Amino acid sequence: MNSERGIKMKKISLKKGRIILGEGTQGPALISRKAFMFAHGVNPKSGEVIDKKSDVYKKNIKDKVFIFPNGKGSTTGSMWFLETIRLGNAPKAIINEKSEMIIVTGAILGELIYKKKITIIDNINFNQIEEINEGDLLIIKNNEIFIKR
Amino acid sequence: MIQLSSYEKAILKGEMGEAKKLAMELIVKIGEIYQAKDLVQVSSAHILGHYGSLHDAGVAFYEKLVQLKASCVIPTTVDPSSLPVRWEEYRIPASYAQKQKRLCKATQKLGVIQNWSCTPYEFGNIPRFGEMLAWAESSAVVYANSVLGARTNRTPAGLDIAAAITGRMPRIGLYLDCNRVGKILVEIAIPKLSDLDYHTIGYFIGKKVGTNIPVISGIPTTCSNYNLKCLGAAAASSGAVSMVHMLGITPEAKMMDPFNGKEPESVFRIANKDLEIIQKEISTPCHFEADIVAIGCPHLSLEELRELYNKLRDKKIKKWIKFWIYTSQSVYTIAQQMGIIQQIEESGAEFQVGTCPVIAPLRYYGFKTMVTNSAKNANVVPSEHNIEVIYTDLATCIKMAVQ
Repeated sequence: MNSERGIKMKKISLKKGRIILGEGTQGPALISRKAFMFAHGVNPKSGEVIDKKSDVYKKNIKDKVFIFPNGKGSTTGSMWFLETIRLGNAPKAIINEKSEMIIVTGAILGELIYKKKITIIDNINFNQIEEINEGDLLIIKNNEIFIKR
Repeated sequence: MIQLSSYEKAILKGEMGEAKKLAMELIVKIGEIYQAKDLVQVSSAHILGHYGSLHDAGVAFYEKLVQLKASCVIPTTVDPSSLPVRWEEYRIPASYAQKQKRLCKATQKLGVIQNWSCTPYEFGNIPRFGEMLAWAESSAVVYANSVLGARTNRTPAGLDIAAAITGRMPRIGLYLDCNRVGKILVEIAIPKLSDLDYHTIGYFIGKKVGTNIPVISGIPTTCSNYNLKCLGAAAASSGAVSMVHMLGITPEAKMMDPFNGKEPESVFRIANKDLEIIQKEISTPCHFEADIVAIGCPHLSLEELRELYNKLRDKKIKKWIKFWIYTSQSVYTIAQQMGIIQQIEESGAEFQVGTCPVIAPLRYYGFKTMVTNSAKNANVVPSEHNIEVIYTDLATCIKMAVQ
């Protein structure tokens, strides 16, 4: 266990994982083990997952550290994501095994147009983050993830 | 670090205006993230412009580019709209229609070729071999890479218009030779393929290979271009396929070994019995009679339209069934000159020009069950519109709809 400012936290090294966007943030974990799509997958007006095939169907991505292996679906996904960002319903961070250009494009546009930053971590191995449970508070800082329970 | 030319650096500094600067910031950032060595000069773009998926953020983005005096520097076409051309006759709320109209106006001001079709390679934007493109429509991406031998990634919405106004993209993915090599061998062991089989095969391959590039043997070189269009559309929809090598058809597969001297990582065969299973899988369970027949996903070509005309001749569509045919304004206009539009409409079938069943707001029409001969359409419609789908060949589609 690591200690930061007196609070007990578990540190997870990113190993080959890298922060490709944003600097760091914190929020509760939401974990999907399936490929995720923003296009027709998320309601931008609420942040609720509307893709019935998703294992996080009906859960909300707003302000979460959202972990899923990779993106899928239509090239319009970037605009679905941008709309979600515009309306303030986006996750704080996204952690992927493979970050897809569609999602990254939405996040960059969110930063360029609406000045809203989203942290994206790419190239994580799902084995590395097995100890993270849904709802755990995750702190992303200096290429490391801390779990605070 | 990404290498930029002096022209690209000048854009990034804002010397060519705010719009280009914004676009270049996006392009360079993507390039840095995906470790591009430099940018590639693209000479054609195909962008998305339908409100159903671009939302208010998309309208705001396009209007911002207009306000910043952006203009396309390369030939740029646009995907179908969320509105049928005669939208007032249907039940689409004026507020929704208004947003689509704003998108149309913005694309006009940006100098986008107003084709409103997912088959830009037929009219308006025809690439040549080896040409670098930034296309966003997934079915057209597969067609460009696999049939024409041009090069494009599945360009995300937003990045597509950035390419259109700068003529640049990060040199990543399918722009590079090394990423166009086949990984999986797919052997089609079926002596005679029907039109529907191409859809079903595409759907099956997409499911199996995901984002990998398959090398497909057993497609007759005499098949129609529309067969290849439908195979690619289905594969792009069920998987995230951007390119397939079809032996004897794909230009690069004709000129060199698509596996680049390596053994395929895996091999699978598709036989007739597989197609029967998949065909059933694509249909959602249905016990109702259909209330809509949707033909033309991707947009119908003139060749397909002529075939439809022959099959619909002297037939009458049941009054309670909508028989909607989706195509581009270009095809529609030429078909009018061929005298086949009026004949088709006399059967009771209607044209939906410049829009598409996948992205139009079908929820406003109250449909319960759709019949379609498109695997892409059948794959997308149940989840996007909550409409059940019967997937079957054109002859059966017509049989279910006529009196």
